[in-house]
Amino acid sequence: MSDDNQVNITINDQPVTVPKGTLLVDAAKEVGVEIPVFCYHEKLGPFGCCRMCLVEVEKMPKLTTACTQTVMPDMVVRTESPKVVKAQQGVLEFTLLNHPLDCPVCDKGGECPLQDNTFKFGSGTTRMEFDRADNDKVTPLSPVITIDRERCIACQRCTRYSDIIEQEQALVMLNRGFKNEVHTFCDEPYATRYSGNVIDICPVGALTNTEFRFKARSWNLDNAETLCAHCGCNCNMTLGSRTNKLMRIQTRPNDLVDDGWICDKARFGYDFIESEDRLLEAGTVVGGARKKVNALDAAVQVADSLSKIVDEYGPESVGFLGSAYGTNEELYLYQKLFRSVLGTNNLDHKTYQDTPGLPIDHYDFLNVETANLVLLIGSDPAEELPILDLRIKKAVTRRGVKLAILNDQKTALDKFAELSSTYNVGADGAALSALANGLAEGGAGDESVTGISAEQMKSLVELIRSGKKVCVVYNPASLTGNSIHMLKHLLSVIGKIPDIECGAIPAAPSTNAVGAMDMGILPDFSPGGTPADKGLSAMEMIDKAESGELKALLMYRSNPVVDFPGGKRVEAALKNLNLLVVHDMMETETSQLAHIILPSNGPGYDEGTTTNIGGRVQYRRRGLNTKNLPDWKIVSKMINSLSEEPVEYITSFNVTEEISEKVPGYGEINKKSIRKEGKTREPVTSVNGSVPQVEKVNSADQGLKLRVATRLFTRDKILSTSSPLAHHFLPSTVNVHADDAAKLGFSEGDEAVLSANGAEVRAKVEISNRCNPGAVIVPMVADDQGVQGLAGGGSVSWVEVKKG
Amino acid sequence: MIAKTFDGIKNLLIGLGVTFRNLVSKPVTFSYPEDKRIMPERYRGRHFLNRDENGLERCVGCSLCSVNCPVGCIHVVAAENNPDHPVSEGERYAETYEINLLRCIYCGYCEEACPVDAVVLREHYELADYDRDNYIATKSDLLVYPEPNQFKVNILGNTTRV
Repeated sequence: MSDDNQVNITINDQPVTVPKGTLLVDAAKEVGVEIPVFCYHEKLGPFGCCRMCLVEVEKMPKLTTACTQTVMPDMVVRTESPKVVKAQQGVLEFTLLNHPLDCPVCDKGGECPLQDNTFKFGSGTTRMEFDRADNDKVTPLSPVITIDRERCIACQRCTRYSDIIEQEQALVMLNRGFKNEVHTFCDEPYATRYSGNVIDICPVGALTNTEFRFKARSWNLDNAETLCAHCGCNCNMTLGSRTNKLMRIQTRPNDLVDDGWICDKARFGYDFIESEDRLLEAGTVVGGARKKVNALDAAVQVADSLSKIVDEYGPESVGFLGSAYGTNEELYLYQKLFRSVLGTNNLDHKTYQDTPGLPIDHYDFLNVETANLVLLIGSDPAEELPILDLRIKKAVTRRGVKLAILNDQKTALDKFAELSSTYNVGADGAALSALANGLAEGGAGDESVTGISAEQMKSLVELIRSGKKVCVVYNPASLTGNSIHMLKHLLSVIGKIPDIECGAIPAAPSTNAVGAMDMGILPDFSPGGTPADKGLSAMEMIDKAESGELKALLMYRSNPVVDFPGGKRVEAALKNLNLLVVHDMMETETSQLAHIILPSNGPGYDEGTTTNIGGRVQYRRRGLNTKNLPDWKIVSKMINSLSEEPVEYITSFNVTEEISEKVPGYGEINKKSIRKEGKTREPVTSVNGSVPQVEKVNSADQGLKLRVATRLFTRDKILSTSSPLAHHFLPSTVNVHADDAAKLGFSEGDEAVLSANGAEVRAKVEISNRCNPGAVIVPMVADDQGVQGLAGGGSVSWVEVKKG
Repeated sequence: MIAKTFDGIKNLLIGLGVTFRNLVSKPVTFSYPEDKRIMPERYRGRHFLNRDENGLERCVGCSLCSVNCPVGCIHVVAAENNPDHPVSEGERYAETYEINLLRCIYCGYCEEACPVDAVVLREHYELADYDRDNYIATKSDLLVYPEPNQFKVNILGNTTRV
């Protein structure tokens, strides 16, 4: 044998060479031999409880299960011998013993492994002519999952999923023998963030999608291979529709991105597609009333009005506020409109500071598994990027990767961490600087500022130094002030440590945060991270609008009235504008203030490429048809009506072609290369800035520091109260440290009033040591909670907490 | 000459014999539309949806008829049964069940595929109409079963409407 890691075996007289440790089931697939399975799933590992995969191995006295048997040198395996066929028929007879034959009614019918295996390997008749066990039919496991216990064949895929993948152990097998059933402890609802995946992996129709129940048969669906548009993971999913109506969403495994799983927000959070609040028509506001107009006419009107304002007040008087929810094509065209045509650099898509490019490698999801150490900075993947959370759990529990966390709040991943340090809210710059100094020359920073003890800092430094391959995952949105530059400095310090391979994932929560930066929706960088003259950032644009220097703003899928710090101040500033154009898919608080409204198609209806946090560019296919014009057509109409050299795009791929020509790093991105798994774009070069000064947090007695925490299930424009995920919504709460609670005289469950900047938020007190003393954490649970109204313009916001 | 004449008459009578024989025999044609033909028991005419002995619809909306249809003329939209007022026996029923009778080729595959004996093709063959829209048979058109055979054989072996 040439290679020690390869094993030669024979399956049904066909020779096959596979790597050591491969299971027989997987080896058989290599030569096209199908071994039927129920309990085995490649992501869950071997189990061997269903006995469906029995095969005959020469020199073994009895049949063996192919899903637990690894290949051994010179093994001779038979999967079609009379002995095996008899065993398969016997196993299926037992499996079907209590399985109701309601395939015509069952939702799994047509895509059911039990149906398929019975058809291919079953005996065709049964000897079990007696009444079947009478188990519970329709039982809700959670508001989105219904279990039919009669159909369950106890393969334990779902319980193992809950145990191994989710690490929640929420689903368990209760009781023994014929009473054995899938259940949750104490009849609690099975409401985890990733519960929907059990529907996909169930090999029978036991676990069904409550939303999809009986709506359509699997073969009726038009399946579009699309991407999820909720977070920066860009998980691959299949959008099944019938007669142009959304029916269900399923996983579409892509190991390079999602590892075969999607979160519940992806699966059940697409109700907004058919929401009544959608903006479907362009409109102009005349005298307070909205008048319907043709979208292209409105686009020309927008272009004309913008150029008029540019002629009158200069290009600095117009601005563009995009968002990371658009596709690369749409954002690129907007960038072209504002930079090249209107000649302004006032573009931004975020309220925090960030720059494109990393001083070290840009890591992909796979690197999380292959690293020795994952360092999470300011990131809470469970709430922000759920599939990254699963990937980190997989790396830690099954790949032996160490996890170190540096955050200002305790997160769900802390229990998996080797080391978890909590810095003070607002002291991220100091903490990162202390860590960078510690790595470079030793030292631990000032504990009174960072909130991290010298000992902890030392062990964190040690942990990073001892890691052979370090993957830093940071959330730029959680960093305050200019800390992002300190973080980039830290990354370059890590990169300089000898014998360490390292890279980072900029894990911003929004869908296309990396793409938006690459496309140059930044005040100081044009596409591909090329430095440009500095224009106004998002917050500066609001300030200038307030002072009247900025005359016109175009909002693309952005809702600053709710999402920007400042609340009422932002609203007043926007009212001050001469022209406010809102291009959005939903009616928002901002669209109410708009002078011209353009409809955006949004996920499901739109198409284009997005770049995920790992830098992978994938194609988001259209799942549903609409009569409305695609967004890129509206934007290109604006460009063409002003530009002397109009460019007509016929499909969105024409824009992609232009991007691959013009944007550095996107050279190899084209229709062909991003098909299937997508393609990683070349990392954009990073501009080495000087090491910033740590901003001093004014610790004057102004109350408590405010940290707004992101939540996955927020009652906003995407998930309304009628959403099937409404059971995940939380009341407004404030997490107070025990020390502060004692000082303020709060006890658990008290009503508190948080006030700052003239805004007030009522919240229930939860005494938890989620953050260090001196700060409160308020999870953003709803748009109407108004928590961003408390936040000021500075890097750290202070709130006064009183009893309500 | 005479022989030739007799020969002529004989041949004439032979020829007319066919005419006279048919004059008294049972006619092969019948006067449609006054008389209707009775069709063989397994004739594949218009579709109907069956009900079960409790009066519930047999159809559970499984769409197997529609997936088996070689011309794609059946459209089924299923919905979940309300357990208190079930429409059909199972958990699911057909909320919409439409057959495009113009597109249908009356092959009977839907009947063959139906796991619950709900859809049947019966002896009704009079499908002419003035309006194309009437050819979309909906649930109310299809759920008229059981209905007695409307036709009876008359003395001459022809069918008449009862």
